[in-house]
Amino acid sequence: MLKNLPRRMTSLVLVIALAAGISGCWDKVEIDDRAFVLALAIDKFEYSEEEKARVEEQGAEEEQQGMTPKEYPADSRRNRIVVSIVYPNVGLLGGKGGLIPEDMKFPMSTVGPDIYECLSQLAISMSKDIFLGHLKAVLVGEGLAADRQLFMEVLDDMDRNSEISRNVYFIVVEGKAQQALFIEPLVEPIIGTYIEKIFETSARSSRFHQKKLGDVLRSLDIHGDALAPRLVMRERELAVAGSCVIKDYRHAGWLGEIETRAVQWIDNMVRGGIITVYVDDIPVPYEITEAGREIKIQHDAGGNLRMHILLKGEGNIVGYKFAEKQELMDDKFIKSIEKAIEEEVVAECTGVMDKLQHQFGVDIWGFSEYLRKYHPEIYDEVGKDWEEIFPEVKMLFSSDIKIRRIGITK
Amino acid sequence: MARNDEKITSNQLVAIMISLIIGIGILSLPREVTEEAGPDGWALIIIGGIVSTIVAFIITRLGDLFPGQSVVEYSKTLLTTPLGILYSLGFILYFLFFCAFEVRVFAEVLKQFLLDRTPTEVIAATFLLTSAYMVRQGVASMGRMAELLVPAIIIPYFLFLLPAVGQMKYDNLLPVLRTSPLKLLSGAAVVTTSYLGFELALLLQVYMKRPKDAGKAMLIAMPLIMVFYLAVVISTVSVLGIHEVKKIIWPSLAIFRLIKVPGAFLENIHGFIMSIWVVSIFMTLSGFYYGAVLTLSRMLKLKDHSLLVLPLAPVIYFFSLVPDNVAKVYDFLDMFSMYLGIPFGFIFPVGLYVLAKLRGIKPKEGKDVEKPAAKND
Repeated sequence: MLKNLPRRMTSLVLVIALAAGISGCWDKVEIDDRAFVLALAIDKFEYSEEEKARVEEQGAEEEQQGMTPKEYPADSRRNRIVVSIVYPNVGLLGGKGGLIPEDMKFPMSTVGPDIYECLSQLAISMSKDIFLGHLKAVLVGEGLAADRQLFMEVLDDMDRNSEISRNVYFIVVEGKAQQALFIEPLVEPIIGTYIEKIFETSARSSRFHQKKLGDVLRSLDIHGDALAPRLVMRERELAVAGSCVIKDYRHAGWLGEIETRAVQWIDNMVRGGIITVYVDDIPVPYEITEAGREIKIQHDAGGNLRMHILLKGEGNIVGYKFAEKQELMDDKFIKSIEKAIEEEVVAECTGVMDKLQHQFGVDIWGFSEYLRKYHPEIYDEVGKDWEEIFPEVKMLFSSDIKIRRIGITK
Repeated sequence: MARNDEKITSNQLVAIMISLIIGIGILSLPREVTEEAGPDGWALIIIGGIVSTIVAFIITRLGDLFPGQSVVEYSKTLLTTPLGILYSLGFILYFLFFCAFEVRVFAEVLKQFLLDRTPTEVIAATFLLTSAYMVRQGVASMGRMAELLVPAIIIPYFLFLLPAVGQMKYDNLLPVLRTSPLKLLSGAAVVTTSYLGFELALLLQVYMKRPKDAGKAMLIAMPLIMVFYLAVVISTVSVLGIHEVKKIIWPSLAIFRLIKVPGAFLENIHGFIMSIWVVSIFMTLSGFYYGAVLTLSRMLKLKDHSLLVLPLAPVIYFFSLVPDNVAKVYDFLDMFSMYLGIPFGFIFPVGLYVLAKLRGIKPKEGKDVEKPAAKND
């Protein structure tokens, strides 16, 4: 027994040393030590006129007193963007109650040169570890999106991050993103989840662009152009409505809800929605249940490219007028309504195509990619100068709408 | 010691090969083939797969010519003793470098995605020591381990890929075969390095119960790996599109950040994929580590290889920490595949086989079935 003692002691020491030294996980973080950031808002740092004047005045005063004027925020190279985050009170969500039970969430904001420096600035005033792995939405302010340089920096910061999922919703806010993030919505207290729910449940309305961060980044990567969903602020609610046109890494303009639906129809993304047409001055709402599109590309006699886009749809009529003489249960009448809807769809698509071809000059559908994949011989011809060629392409729309059902009354 | 007398079955050789060859390369493979051939990357996988299968088969034919001998011994016969020793030394260096890359890329990826506060050194050292333990156990344990782990790598991988099927856009693979044949061939040179590892058969064939079956085993293993690679490349490219695949350093992992399992408690299956991949890298590292140890022990005519395992660990560790950053790691890796991988994997074995054929060496009959390998000298 005693003979083995030194040996046993050695093995004991070894076991302890190995257990301490070899276990590789140095990254353990307790779940309640983590701040799960659900939404991130990024704005360009901008000074209002009054503030600028105040700062300049103060500077001049100091100079008068013989001091060298301090560096004020507006002058500093470091003040480029405003990053705001919201993280929920995890304890409360779990039903246990946090330290301050009445607070559902904690909003914070800071100014800095890039996202990560801002986050580290926020971290020093927090008792938790910032974690972006559960991020649901990234809101980008209009001002930031309009600044090409800043916008590209912010995009790369997100693209490079291994924590941020590409399934995050990337939304351009009309106005300040920070303001949108700090709204206290009535329906759903936490902005990140709120936005996620809007995307998940309301996508069938086709009234906003249903793309995620990954899609936007990919589109920007290929062409420098993209269409991102737009966020509109209201008093105590948010709305994801319409879309933001990004041209050459810069915000170029907005598209409305109907225009966005037309864009998505051309992109084969429409899954539902309501189109209202007027038949003899009576509004007839048509519910889309299925939609699709077909593209044909050819050269016309003059050698120019011509695209035929056929927009197909199936759906139901969900409303008409009570006690109206003309019954809906009549194939001829249904056909005439179909025709009216077809005209409406073609008009919408022609309108938005005209806007994007001639006003913005942006191919947000990535037709050049379509050509590369399906018509490589045409792509070889035009791929290089697609930007110049795209506005010249003749776009012809036609539509094929079917009404399948009319509800439960004649 | 009895360890080196243990034998592996032909199934175990298949399993060892699959777990060995699927390693760090799989993460960047879709990017590499897409950079070379755009949407036709899958064609490179097929060309590379066919070439590697042929070479792997030639290697086993070479082994058949020298029953009971591994490359360490018969290279001396074929190349004269000094050149043979040089060849073996080069082989050891090749294995050690390979191990170093496995360790380093493993550490880089783990640090990027999972353990961002754990020092690279700690990740590398723990991983290496675990592998050393495996290598000490010898080839039979490795065979059994591989047999267990290969299904545990392949099956979950395909299961986790299932939710992605809805996100795959197969038009990302269009246009089909518009790449010029010349470009496909030059691109295939890059991709063949992803199949490296089969040259371990130069050493392992001796340890088989029936060494004659090695050829058949390779003909099963290599096409299986090719199919797996094809699945990885096609799924990755069709989910991400060629532009993004070219941009992301490890695209095969990136697609699992996109996949959401409907209704699952954990949204991110990324972590599971990482753990599968860790297992597969572990087997890869162990295989090459064993290769280095085995070559050295056969050169020194040691009866037990396990003595050499730990002394080689610091060497691998040192090599693995040489590159300064991830860009340098991949620069070195390219150089390594060009100047060591292709010669030791493809050119030299085929050269040896041609030499043996020119010399008219005939296999001696009936000698390899019973005789323990380590005692042939």
